[in-house]
Amino acid sequence: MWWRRSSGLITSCLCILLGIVFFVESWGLWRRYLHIGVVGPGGWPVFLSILMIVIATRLIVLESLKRKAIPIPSYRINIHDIRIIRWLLVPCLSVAYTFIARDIGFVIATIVYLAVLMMAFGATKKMSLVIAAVSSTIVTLILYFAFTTVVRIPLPGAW
Amino acid sequence: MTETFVTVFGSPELFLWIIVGVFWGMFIGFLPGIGSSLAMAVALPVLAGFALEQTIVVLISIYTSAVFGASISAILLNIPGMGGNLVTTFDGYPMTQQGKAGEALGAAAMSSFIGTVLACGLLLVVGPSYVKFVLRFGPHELFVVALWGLCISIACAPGSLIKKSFAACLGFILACIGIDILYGVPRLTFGSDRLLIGVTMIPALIGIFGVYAVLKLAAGEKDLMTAVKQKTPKLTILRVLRRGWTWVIMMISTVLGFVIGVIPGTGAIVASFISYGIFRKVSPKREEYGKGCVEGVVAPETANNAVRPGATLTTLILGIPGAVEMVVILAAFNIYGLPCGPTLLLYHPEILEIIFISFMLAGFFALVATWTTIWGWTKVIETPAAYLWPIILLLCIVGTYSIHNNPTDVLVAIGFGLLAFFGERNGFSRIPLVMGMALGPIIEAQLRSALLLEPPQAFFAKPIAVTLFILLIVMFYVFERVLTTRKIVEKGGVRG
Repeated sequence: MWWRRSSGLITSCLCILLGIVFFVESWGLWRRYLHIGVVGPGGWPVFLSILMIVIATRLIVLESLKRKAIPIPSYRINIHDIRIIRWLLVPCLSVAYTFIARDIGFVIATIVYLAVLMMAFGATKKMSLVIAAVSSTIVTLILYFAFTTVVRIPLPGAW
Repeated sequence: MTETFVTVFGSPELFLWIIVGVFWGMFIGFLPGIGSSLAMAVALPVLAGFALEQTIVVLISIYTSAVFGASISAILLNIPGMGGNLVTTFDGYPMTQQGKAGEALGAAAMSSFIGTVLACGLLLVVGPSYVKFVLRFGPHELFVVALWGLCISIACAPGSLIKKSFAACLGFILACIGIDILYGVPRLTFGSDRLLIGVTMIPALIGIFGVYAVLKLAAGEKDLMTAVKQKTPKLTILRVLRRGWTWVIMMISTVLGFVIGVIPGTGAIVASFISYGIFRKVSPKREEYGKGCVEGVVAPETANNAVRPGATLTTLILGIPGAVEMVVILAAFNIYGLPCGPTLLLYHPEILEIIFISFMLAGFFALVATWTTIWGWTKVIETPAAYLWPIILLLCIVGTYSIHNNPTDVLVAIGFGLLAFFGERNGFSRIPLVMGMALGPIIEAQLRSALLLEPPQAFFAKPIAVTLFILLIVMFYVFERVLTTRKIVEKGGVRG
């Protein structure tokens, strides 16, 4: 696939884009405090963003000169693979959990979150499901007690 | 010293409180994102009714044992509980994957204890004289020392130099987001109020290590319902003492850690990287580093623990806390009516003796606590990944959320996890990114201070700074080029 061959080039282009974004933002700051000079708030970010652009440009040149594509590591994401669902579930569920816990409460949200993740990671047999449900409940209650009573740290949705 | 000893040991129940403090510190140190400062702050009101000496002993116990706890999570889970344990993951986690978690934990515990004890010896013998030398360090010298940590970490990380440099620059510029340290103006916030607090280190660290590990696991082919069986040798904690070369590593790492710890603003992460980097080059087993070599655990853990007595000494002599943990200790002094400043040791010289005894006791009890619980920890890691890693991810989220009680920190952690995942796939190591974020503020602050105070050419009139800089260039060249770092790494060497 062309995108596999060009992954290095795409990444290098993203790097240069990142450098440009930071340069544009820091250039405004540099101009606003130009009277202070290089020790002003804009000096260091401008220097870094220019350095990023230079390095990214060199990366583009190197990637263009390469004959082979970068070998993809064994943990690649294959769009046709069921593992992509598991991989996507981790960040999406974690974000949802953080916000939903405030509404439905820490205990319920955490038990559901843990159980769903354990199922996604392979606890699909009957016995495994029971272990997942029980362990989710126990861990949640231990955490709730430890954080709210012992350590007194706020939990999402617990205060 | 004898009087202090008698005062400290005058109360038998103190030993019970030390044990409680050690387990408390280890528990908190193990949890990602919480940190030893919180453990100490929570304990302080409870200890206020004790005698001063006993309060200091318990606080130092928590301070020391938290590092032990953090090394446990670094070895078992590949998530450094604190920044200074980052390097321990390079070899500690591969050892866990090979079923040698017990050996790694034993090596970490013993080398931490040895590092603490030897550093305490240095504290008493050369400490005050060395601090007088360090007081001559200005922004130029501190700038070069911070550069040391950065360059060694870049040399140690896998991948091409150019990609590592980009990752470090990215780390630097992410650290710039927020309020400017000198002028107090918003910087790189892109008009967002949420970015005014900047990109804090802890969520980024948890994302880069914790969330990344879960994402990698989720995308991997491994069966998550099986676990690696762990073999814990008998007397595992003493095995590391049998090798003569390991003693050499521990002694040199202690000196390195103490020397760097006394310098304000550098931190354990610099010491552990420099120690690891040096032995990765000179060790007879250098090709095994990064693949589960016990020396790769001993060197950084010794240096990491040797930093603490040095950092404490600087805080006491300068009166300026070098870390948040020191703020809690100075707060304890305040409660007991002691002057917090350079005159503290002048009017209360026994404080240094109390600190010395505290570190020795804390190191010993933390060693015993780790030894007695190694079997339990290895059993925990034998839990199938399908059950264990969702719990670890939950701890990461809760730990991240608890920093500012702000869900944005969780989003930052997840964002960094995704960044680390895609970066690693494309050859960008995570380590320079982390080091850039950790050392960027120090490097920038010292550089700008130096330029504000004197013209740029004044750097060449600073003999200490120039000497350190020349040594840095030579070491970096040797590390990166002459001893064929790249070739060793490309064979499948150091993990990133």
